Amino acid sequence: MLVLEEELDKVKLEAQQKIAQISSEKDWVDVKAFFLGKRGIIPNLLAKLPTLSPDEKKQFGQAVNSVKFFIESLLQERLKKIKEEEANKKLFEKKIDITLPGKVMRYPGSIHPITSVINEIVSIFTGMGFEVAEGPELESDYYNFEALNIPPEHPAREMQDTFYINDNNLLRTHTSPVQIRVMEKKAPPLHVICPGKVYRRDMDVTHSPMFHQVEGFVVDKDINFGHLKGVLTEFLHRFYGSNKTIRFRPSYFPFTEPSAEVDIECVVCQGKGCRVCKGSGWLEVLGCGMIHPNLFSVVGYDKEVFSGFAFGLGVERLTMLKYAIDDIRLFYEGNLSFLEQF
Amino acid sequence: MKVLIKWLKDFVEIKDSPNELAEKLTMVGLEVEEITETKDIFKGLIVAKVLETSLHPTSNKLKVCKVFTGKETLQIVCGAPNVMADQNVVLALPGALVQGNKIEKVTIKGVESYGMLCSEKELGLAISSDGIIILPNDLTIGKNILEEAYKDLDDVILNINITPNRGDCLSHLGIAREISAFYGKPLNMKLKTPKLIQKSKDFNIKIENIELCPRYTAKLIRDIKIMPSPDFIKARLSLCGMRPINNIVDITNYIMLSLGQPLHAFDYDLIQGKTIIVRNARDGEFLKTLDGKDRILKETDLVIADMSGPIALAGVMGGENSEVMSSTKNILLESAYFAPTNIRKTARSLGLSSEASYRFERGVDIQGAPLACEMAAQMMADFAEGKICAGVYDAYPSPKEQKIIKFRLDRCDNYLGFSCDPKTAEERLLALNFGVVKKRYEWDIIVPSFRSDVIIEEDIYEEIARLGFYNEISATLPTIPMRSRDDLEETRFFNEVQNLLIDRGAYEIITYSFIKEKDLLKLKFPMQENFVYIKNPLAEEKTLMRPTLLPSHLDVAINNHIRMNYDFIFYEMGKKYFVNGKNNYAFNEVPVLSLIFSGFYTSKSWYSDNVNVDFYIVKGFIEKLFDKICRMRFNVKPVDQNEYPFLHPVDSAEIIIEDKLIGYFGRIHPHVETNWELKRDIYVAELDIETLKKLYFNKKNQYYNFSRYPWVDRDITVIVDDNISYEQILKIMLNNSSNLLKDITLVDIYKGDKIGKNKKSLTFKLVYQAMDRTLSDEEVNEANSNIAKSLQKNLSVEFPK
Repeated sequence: MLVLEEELDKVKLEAQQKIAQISSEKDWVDVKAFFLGKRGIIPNLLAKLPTLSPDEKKQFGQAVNSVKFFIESLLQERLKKIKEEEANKKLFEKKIDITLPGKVMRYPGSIHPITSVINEIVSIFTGMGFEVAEGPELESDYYNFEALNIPPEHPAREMQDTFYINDNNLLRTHTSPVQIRVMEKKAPPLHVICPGKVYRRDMDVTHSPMFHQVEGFVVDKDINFGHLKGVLTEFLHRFYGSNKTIRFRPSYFPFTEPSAEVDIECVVCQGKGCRVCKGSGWLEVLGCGMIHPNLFSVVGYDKEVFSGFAFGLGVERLTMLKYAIDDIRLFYEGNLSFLEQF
Repeated sequence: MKVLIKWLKDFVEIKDSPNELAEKLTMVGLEVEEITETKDIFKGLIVAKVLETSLHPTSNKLKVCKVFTGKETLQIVCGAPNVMADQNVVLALPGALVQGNKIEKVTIKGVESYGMLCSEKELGLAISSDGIIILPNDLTIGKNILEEAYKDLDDVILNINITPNRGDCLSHLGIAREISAFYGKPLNMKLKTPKLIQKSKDFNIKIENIELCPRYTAKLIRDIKIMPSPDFIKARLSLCGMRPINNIVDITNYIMLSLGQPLHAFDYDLIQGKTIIVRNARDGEFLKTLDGKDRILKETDLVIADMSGPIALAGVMGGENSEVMSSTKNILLESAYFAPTNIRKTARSLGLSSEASYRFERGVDIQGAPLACEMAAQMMADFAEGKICAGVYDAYPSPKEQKIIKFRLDRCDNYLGFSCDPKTAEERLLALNFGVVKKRYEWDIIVPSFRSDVIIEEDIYEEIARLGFYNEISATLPTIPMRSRDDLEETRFFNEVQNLLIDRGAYEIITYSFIKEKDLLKLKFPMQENFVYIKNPLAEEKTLMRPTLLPSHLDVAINNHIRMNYDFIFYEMGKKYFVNGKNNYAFNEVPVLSLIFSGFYTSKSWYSDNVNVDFYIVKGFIEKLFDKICRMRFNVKPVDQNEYPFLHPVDSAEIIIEDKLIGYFGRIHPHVETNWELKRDIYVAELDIETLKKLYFNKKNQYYNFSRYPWVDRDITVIVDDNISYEQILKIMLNNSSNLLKDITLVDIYKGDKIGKNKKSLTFKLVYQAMDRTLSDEEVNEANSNIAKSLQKNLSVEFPK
């Protein structure tokens, strides 16, 4: 008996070694036959059973069967592993160049830089609670000039060389007429911005006969110049970054009083003075002021009750500064090489 | 406007550096755009001595000079007749700027020249010169001319942007007044208003239109001698950008730059009848102005006339018939006030702007006229040997009253958003020459005569705020109430459409809203009467607000083709413009989405082939857009050649949705492609934005139940006459389908010999699916064969064998 048990232990050990060495399905079949096949080791051992006593038979039979199960489970495990390895090996037979360019059926286009800057401006102001309004580009002299406190023969008309359609109608030279149009229709409180195209008879590297402005204004009780400073400072900090220094300096517009021009620390040289800011360290970015009481008379607001401020942004200028574009004409040429960059 | 710091110092003490001064001027509203030290202008211009001169070997007009610079001797070729040895001269060394031109070493007719000897004209000190400047002999050779010969030219020029409201600042006195206000330093005004006289035995003055000329002062200066002005006048005028002419003209200009009052000097002996009449011109009256141009006048123009007719265009320009010339002996000097509006009208209608009209338009100080007259006369006595009598003749029939403005300090505080203490407010107003009369609840502010821009109470607020450089006002945010916001919906629509477009590969462009009329002809665009023409376009050509975006977009296309960008989709959301109705005073601005396709839609790469843009690619692009914007399909109609002569008659279609025409798409007509010299086929599309917007807002986006059972597909291939449309076939299939049919896809089209001429074969894939069960083959086959039968019945299609 002892001899038989020793033999069983040897078989177990041999099986462990042989099965571990199996490297293919074919090997596996051979090893399986070697141990479990008709003339394999296990059947050979079982063949010895009849020679044993009933007690030994039972004991030895159980021992052989347990070795048989052990070998079978080892073999199953091994087979699973071999199959996995082979499948894995097959995967690696495929070769690809992962650095090849990806397949793109159509690249997305882009929104024009002017539009995206307008969108950015609009979203900053709508975020503060401003409403968006629009007005016609073909305006009357009344809305473009007279209602804005610019009577005929006013020297300020010279600041804006105008395209005329007839004696009474023109291409608006600024978005300020929308101020009057909105005030005529609605009562305060008003917090409005008006983006749009405007036109002036002027054309060079920094002037275009058509360009874009965003007009903004607020009318309510107790609106003061400090609010104007607050709103525009907030806007400029959102647009250019809150580390930029801003200054308000007195200026003149016929439709505001007091009026101011707003300068921002040069975005190119950080205020040290360069070609872009003409050495001053400052860039003029917008004009603004408290709405002139004459405009309130025009729309029938009581200037003793309401006050307001207004401002106008030149979108092209902001865009040129933002992207360091030095020729305004690039915006209107529609050159793909330009548009692709945005 | 250019001002000189030394000249300003005649009026007010300035201790700050030019930069500091400029900063403060800018912060009170007088924006200094440029600071120029004249040292930089006159760099390289030195006092030099001519050692010897010899004749140029090949030119008898030129001389070759040896000139000593203090360090070395240079050879200079000079054409001036007056150059001689032992003279001190002004030498421009290589690198110096003379009238904007850089001096360089040059070879003149074979002889090298290392610089240039300068005349007064070349230094800007005279309008013409006969020869070079000969300097006194006692100067140090080699020094810059600003140090030795022309100390008056040594100055700092501030170029100030004067806003149109500040006519009072168009002079050194005006700027000095502002400086005196913010430094708190008194103004040095040594001269007092002269004695005014109402009668003169030498001349008569009649003002016929006192509205346009409320004040006219004059003075006679006898026995003057016309000659060049003294150096300081020439230098100051030149640095301020005016050409010195002669002492009389220069003095009038000098006083204008100094005090802001434009003056005019008449040759007294040329005034007919010794009478000045200020009157409106007669229609068609004629005057030759000093610039040599003949002017035909209108009744609205104000003129200065004598007994024979106009001798000057009041406030704008003098006439040649009374011009001061070298022979002039006696001067009648005019110092007047003309109404701004009328001056501007005249200057604009004649296209004639002068330093004088520029100032009158912006308002000069009506109280300053006699003083300017007297000061100019004094200078004519000093520098033109003139003889003057005491007093200034003054015609001022109804003197202007002082302007008084009611001022409330508490309202000022509320308006500006800072609390200004009464003492500061008063000090600032006094410093700016306002009078302050304090009453119990408000102040009366007396506006100085030169501040015609200060009219209302808020103007006073600005005066107080700007003297604090706006710095005292702290930034605060106002409160904004919540409210209903339709406008945000609009923004959302535009953002969504734009995102769809760029996601599908389109680039946004922005082009000018106006086009040339000839471009419409080039496009064969049907001309209409309601186009909006621009009266005064940039170019001479007939220009109009565009009734279509196409010409601009074809321009963009060809500009890209020229630069070898052939493949693109561009879009623009722009407007078309039309006159609305019969009169010319109301307009329609119609927003449209315009697209232009060129070249390959997909280009060759390692995984794809070149695919040209074609009708169906453009159609698919728009279909997808509609699907996303409004989940709707549109119908198409062939285009009418008369309406769309610019489109290819076959490769184009109108877009109809809910029986409404909302745009078109298609290929550009080959003739138009040729007109634009386009290098690729161009497809375009135009969609009405207002309709799109309506569809977008009406979009119903509701969930529908879907089947969880398997689907089955079947193919149907039919052979039909070529002129039967896909839509006809589709309609029959849909009309004869059961509710099991889920989808139909056209999977193949074949035309060719196998099926015969004028025939086509279409293969459809039909998908069947039930909501409640797995379909059996029998059910599907039956449904499919019903559809096939109906096609055979209705369209006599054949099925392939």
